[in-house]
Amino acid sequence: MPEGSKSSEVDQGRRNVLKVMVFASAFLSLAGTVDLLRVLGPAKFEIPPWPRTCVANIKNLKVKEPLFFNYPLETTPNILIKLGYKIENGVGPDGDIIAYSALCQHLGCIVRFLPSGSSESSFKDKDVIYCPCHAAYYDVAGAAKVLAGPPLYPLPMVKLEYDPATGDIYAVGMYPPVIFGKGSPGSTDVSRDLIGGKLVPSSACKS
Amino acid sequence: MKKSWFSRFVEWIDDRFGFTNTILRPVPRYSLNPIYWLGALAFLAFLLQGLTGIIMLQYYTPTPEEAYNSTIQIINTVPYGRLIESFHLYMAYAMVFLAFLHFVRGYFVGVYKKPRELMWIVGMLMGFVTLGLAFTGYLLPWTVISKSATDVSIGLVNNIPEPLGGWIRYILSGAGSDKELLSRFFALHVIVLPVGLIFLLALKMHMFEVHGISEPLSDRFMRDMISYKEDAMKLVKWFPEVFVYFLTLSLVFLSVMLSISALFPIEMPPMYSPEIASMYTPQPEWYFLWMYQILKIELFEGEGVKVALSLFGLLAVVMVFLPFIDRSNVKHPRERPLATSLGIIGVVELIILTIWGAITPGQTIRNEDAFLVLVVPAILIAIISYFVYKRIFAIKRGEVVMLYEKFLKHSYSYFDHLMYSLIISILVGIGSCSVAIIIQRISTSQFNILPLATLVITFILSSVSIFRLMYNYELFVRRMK
Amino acid sequence: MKLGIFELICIALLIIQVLITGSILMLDPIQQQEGYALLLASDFVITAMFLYLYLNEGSEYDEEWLAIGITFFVIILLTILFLIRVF
Repeated sequence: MPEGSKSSEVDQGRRNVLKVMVFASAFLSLAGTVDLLRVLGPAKFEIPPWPRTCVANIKNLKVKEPLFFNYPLETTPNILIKLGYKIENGVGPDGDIIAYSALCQHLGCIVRFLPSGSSESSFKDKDVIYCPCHAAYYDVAGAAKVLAGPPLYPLPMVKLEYDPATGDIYAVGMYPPVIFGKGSPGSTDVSRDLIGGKLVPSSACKS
Repeated sequence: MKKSWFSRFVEWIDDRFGFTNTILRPVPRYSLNPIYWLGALAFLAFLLQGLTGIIMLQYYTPTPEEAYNSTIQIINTVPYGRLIESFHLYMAYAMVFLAFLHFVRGYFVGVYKKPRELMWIVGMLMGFVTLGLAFTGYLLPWTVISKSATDVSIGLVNNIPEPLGGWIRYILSGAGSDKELLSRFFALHVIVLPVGLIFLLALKMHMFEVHGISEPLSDRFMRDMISYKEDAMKLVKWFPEVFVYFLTLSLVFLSVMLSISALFPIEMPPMYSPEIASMYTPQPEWYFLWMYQILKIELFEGEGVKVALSLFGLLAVVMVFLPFIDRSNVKHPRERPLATSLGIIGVVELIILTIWGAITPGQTIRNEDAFLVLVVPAILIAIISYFVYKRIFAIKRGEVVMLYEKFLKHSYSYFDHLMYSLIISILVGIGSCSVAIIIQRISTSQFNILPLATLVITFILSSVSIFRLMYNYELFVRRMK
Repeated sequence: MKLGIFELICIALLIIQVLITGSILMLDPIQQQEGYALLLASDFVITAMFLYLYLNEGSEYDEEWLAIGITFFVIILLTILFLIRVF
């Protein structure tokens, strides 16, 4: 110890204070660490409820112009399209609004919408969703089943709700299969779509 | 009175546990400096790996079908699971990095000179076991990247001549099926290598207790007998002083690693399947990138792989048997121009190769590029080294005045010493993880400025700290004259 | 026991540690794991600081102030990071 320390009485008093402090502090740290033992306890598999999120208002939607939105997690984008003709599972007054997950079921690239007659599309007679990574095609009017390309499963459909009074469209759930990356490919356990990321908050549309 | 029952309680415990009566010998005060504790921190990292590993063992299933899902289950559903997985990952990086720093320090200050030659060999073996732990552990989550990288490495084993190659291949992957590969790697990672490491550690600790901490470097230090120096040489009892010191160091290290695990939680690539694997470029973890980069040079393609692997083998043999190759008695870097220059070139090349490997995934390197990037810095360092040592020897002969004499400032104090040591401990933790994160982010093309900024700041601060420590050490030495 | 500034700061740090340890036990172990880790890290820093002071008494006051100051800064930094990241 370098020379020139304080006088011994003060040292002794301070030394005792410090000793007690050290033990108290160490004990508190240990108590904090002990909480880690919870890891051996049962895995609380709390699946949060599906958020009810405002996506768009029908007034702002144009035919065959896609809209991207995140649901149910911040990291799971979806694509919403107003087709202009009635399809099975479509919502809205004309039954033509539909939304699918925008993550390709092959390797998770973000997909694009190619309307029928588009020059880039190999399926000129259909409205398709196209994945540019490996040229996958999904049939928009046919529940996004795979028309061509490497994916093995169709794009998951978003469960939409249309409020006829205000024209608001809400996303309220997802249909199987599970979104890419959230579970075994093709799994029907859609509850897995809700974990592994930050949940999009439920929101009402501002009219 | 509080004091007396407390003291009596402490005495009661001590009578039974015997902490103050430990067989661990007292250490000189100068060794309460993080640079002497890098190995101990690496061992602490190993213990924490064991702890978090045992926790994950409760949930992990070592079959190819279930490995990935069970890991995802730990991350998503187990309380503190994501934290423990991230902590295990970053602590693995820290363990490899600390072991490396420990090795580099040992090399530059010549700890392997007599009588510690065999300690060095045991230490090198421990280093190989550590790398083995990292290698086997990497496969266990069975992700696309880890399985592809492991496949590449096992493929390299084919270049080892029979029957040794066949034997190694059998140990690592059995008959070759995925199931056997995973179960063998699992056994290696969980039991064989840890037990081996503990055994080697026990041996090294025993040898360390016999020989003591390596002597400080300066000859003047040993020659002069002034009270201040005596103070630094004064032996400090293990309990409580040294124990408290190591506890402080460990707590700072732990809190840094916990913060890093919290701020950069682990992100799992997709599960391995042969179709997906063809889409991903295999890339080993950062600590093997330098070897992979060398293998990517054109020169070593095809049959040249055997040449590259032989070179690696030769390098390993040279490093392991270094005490018998470098037989001089001199330890101070200033008096070992060849060893120090080669060491600096080696470390710099390692860093260059690692960073280069991270930014060129899957690409073959042209010979001209390899020559430019690898040979030119080596030549530059050799030239600078030559002139620096020329000056150093001139100073020794008394012909020139040392630069830092102009900068003598305030007096050396233990606070300076410890503060900079603490700072360096923190920076080592942050720096190692920043490097790892940058390399991971670069190799998955998601570049984020934060790890790079952290690394740059860490580098600047650690350079300043090390510089100040060296200054202080010289001042410390000079004060004894 | 003399209640100088040094002792007051020690007691303040200890109280902070009690609060941190208390709030750790209330966090959700799955959603708020990172918050737990950062707070535990602050806990460890405080304990390390106490241990360092214990190891190093007898030195001048200035160094202790500096040690306390730096540690406070680290703790506040960790807590701020916790607030940004986890909330």
